[in-house]
Amino acid sequence: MTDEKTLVSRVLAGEREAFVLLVKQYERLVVHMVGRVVRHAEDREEICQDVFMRVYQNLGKFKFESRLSTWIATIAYRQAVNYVRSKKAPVTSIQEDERIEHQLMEASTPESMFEDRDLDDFILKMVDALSPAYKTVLTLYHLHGMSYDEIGEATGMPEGTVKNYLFRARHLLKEKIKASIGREVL
Amino acid sequence: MMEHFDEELQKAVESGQMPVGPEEDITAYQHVFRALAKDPGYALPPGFAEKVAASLPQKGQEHSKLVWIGYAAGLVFMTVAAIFTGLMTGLKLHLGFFKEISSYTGLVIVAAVLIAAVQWLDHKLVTERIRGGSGG
Repeated sequence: MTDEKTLVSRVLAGEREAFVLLVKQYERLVVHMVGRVVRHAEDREEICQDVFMRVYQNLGKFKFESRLSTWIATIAYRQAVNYVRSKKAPVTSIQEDERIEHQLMEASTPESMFEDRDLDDFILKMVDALSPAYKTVLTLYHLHGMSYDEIGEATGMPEGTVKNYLFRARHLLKEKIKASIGREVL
Repeated sequence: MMEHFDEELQKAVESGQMPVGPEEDITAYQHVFRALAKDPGYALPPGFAEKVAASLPQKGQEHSKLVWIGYAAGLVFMTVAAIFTGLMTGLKLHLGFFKEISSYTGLVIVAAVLIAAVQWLDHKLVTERIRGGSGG
């Protein structure tokens, strides 16, 4: 990993190789953010490209008041949400979240879940069925090790909402798994 | 109450402590935390970073900004020089010149249209071809 300040100053100095390095360093974060909001796989690459173009254009305004990853995640989240809005698809509301929770609890579970890998895949599929807000919070916390504060900054959600979403999502998944494991044992 | 207990259970499982609570809840949470640490499988094609870098504005295009600044500076300099020369030589502007060319209105219009057409053709046929050639 290259030091953030060095990398940013090299990109600002016009070093193309440094920008390639920056993209490689943060493409996993960006594709996760975009992937959690945009369902169509074919649109994701283009949106990710737009995110990095925006990063390049605005890098001079980055003042190191947060981590570079948080700043890039903010841009990625906004870009993805704006894309979904431009396609006239509503960004899920709290009421919608509750409907999704209900659907998730009623969804059928696979017949055999003794294999750990099957169970992991099943959990990941359930995560994918959650609303973008839940998925984004889970991804940033569990995969990118961001704090509540950083997730709040990236998504524009209050810290309390971030905590609540994390708790509710994990609780929902736990209940679903518990029910499935119980069924297997019986 | 139940929610608080569940929250504490989540914290204990996450930090790897020995949680106290129903076995099935602990096992289910352990599965959930392990799965959440796995990559969801979204991926960008190989060479994505290079592709994005290649779509950045070319150095020549960045340079063209400097060229425009140069043009503007030249224009300002020429205007100042003209005013200064006018003041030094005691030049007085009068409408005689415009009266002269008013009898050739048609010719002036044709000349203006021709100049505009040449500029447009130059932009369309030459400049864009040069840009296209250097871009890729």
